[in-house]
Amino acid sequence: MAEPDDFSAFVSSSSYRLFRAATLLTGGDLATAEDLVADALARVYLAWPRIRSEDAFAYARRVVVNLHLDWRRLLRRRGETLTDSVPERSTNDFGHDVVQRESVARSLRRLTRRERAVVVLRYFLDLSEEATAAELGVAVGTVKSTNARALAKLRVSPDLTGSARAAVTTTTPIGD
Amino acid sequence: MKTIEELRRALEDETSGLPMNISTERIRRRARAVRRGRVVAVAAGALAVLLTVAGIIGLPHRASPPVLSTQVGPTTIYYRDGTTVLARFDGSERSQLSWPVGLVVNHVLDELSHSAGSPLRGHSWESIRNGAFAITTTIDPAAQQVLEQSADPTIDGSAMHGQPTTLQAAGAVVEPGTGRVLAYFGGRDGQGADYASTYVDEDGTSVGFGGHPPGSTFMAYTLAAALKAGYSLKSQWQWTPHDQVGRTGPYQIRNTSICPSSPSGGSCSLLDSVAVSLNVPLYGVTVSVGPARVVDMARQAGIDTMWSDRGRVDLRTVDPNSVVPSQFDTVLGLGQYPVTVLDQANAMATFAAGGLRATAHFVQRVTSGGRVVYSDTPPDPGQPRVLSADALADLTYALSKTGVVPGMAVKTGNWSATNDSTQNSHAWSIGYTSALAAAIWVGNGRDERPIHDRNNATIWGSGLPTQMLRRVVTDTQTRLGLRPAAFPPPAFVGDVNPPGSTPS
Repeated sequence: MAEPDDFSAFVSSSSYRLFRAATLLTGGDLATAEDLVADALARVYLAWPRIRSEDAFAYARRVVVNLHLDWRRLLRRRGETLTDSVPERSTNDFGHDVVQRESVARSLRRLTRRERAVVVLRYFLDLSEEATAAELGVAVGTVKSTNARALAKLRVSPDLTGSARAAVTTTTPIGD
Repeated sequence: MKTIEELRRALEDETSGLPMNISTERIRRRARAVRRGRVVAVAAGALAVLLTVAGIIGLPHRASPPVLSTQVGPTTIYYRDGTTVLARFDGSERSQLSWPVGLVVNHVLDELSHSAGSPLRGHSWESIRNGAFAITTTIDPAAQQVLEQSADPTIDGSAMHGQPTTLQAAGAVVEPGTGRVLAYFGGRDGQGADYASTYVDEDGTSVGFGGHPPGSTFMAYTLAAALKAGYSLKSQWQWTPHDQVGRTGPYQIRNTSICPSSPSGGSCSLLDSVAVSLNVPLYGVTVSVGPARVVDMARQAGIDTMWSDRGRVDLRTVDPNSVVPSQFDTVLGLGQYPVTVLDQANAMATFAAGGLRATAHFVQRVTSGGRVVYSDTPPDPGQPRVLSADALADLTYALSKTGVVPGMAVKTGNWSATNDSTQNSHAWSIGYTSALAAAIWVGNGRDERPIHDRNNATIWGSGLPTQMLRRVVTDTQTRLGLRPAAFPPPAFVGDVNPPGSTPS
């Protein structure tokens, strides 16, 4: 069956943004990120008649995040035991030329899956705290506390301007 | 990174210029795979609309579910004693979810996130797992252990131990009168396939392989429908194959057993026909009572779901007359159409409870911050019984008369994937005492093939599944200190010459 033209247009306009979010969610695992996005777009495709008139990107984004948080999916896919943080990898999933990129990927991997989801929704996809809470089906307070923990692990000042604590944390190495 | 602005920039930079390879063909392929499991979700949506129209439940809302818990922390799931931990979502003990009770956890999350009476309806599974809830299930640790010791092939001494690896067992034990699931075994892998029923997962997809053709176990409902319609156990039915409505000439219904009171042919009492699972008279009874009334009896007892050749049918919401014969042929009375192990156990529980029907469920109580936010409610004792006391006494008498398990009402059943009636693909044993109800199924994990035991002998419902049923029910009663009351004597109510029977 042929896709409606506007679905193809939607895929070409939004898939890369979703993919970028997914790479962050997976801590730099490009293959898993592709799977996440392909699965999410498949669900968008099936629901297309219903959601085409709504915010299809928001729908797709929600599916990506929910699939990412579905620990059963992880177990099915990898047959591995789930822990809260993704183990460090010996290979660099981003390729060979990105020494400086690796720091963020590695930092993100130290977060729990949910902490990563909050960070990506808040700071990459630019959702408000309220929208993030609705997206994850949790209380706003949960988003606040999860976000605070995540920022602490990333050594990022929770103060938006960052000026106050920037000086304090400048010398703190991100390291392992 | 020091500031949020730098974090934002790093996230952008980090992901720019990465190679992506997602083809439309890949999306289409995934869509096909998702759709196979999705058809049911669509049906569930339609069901919600129907129920909403009927004013039974509110519209499902996914936007902003009511917030119950502002607490964060791992949720703990307990056995029904409220102290023994069944699972805890703190990372360290997640491996427990790979045990058979892992499937119970999925049912718990389904029940809390999807069922109408739940305060957590509409919440994501993740938010329930991390909302610091204490969830007390209905699962009894001793009953669960007993069931696993019968059904889990990895346990030395279980009935499934050493059997061919293609063989799969499933079972459920339900408390009569409350619908509480005391023990549940859908498979050994708590993250794997569920062969005892189905559940709706976090994405709204129906998961599980719990529907199996019930064969002659379904005659329990055919008999119950006949008793409800006023047919006597003593009524006589021609059991020699003959032309019947919808089944004539080469398509005549045939038997796989003989009538003990009239072995050379002729007529056989309804009582004896059910005892030895005679297809010919039970088909005649189904025609006479009306297949829609048999469906109605099954669903009133507890069969919520039945699969037609076209897919899943939710019996709770349909008019039985609208699915017969469009979805279900008259052979439904002989158990052609798949039902789940859990529904069968629940239906047995209804009969065990004097006809008081409850909804099978896994969650007994939920607390948040020490406050009880949900507890299950037993059915109103004043609600109408699915059968009169006399009809129920006759039903129980007929099911216990075979003496397969002394003191217990039991119906066994088999279903063949082929026309060869000596090669079963599904073998069942379901039954009840006044204290417990249970259902056991043995079949294939994957392909429909003949089922043989470790000695290469064909498995019949009266064999391995009944051994398991007997052990599960008697051992559970012992472990829980249950003393089932004796069944009432038969009342032999009803017409001895109902329409379609042989005049006597």
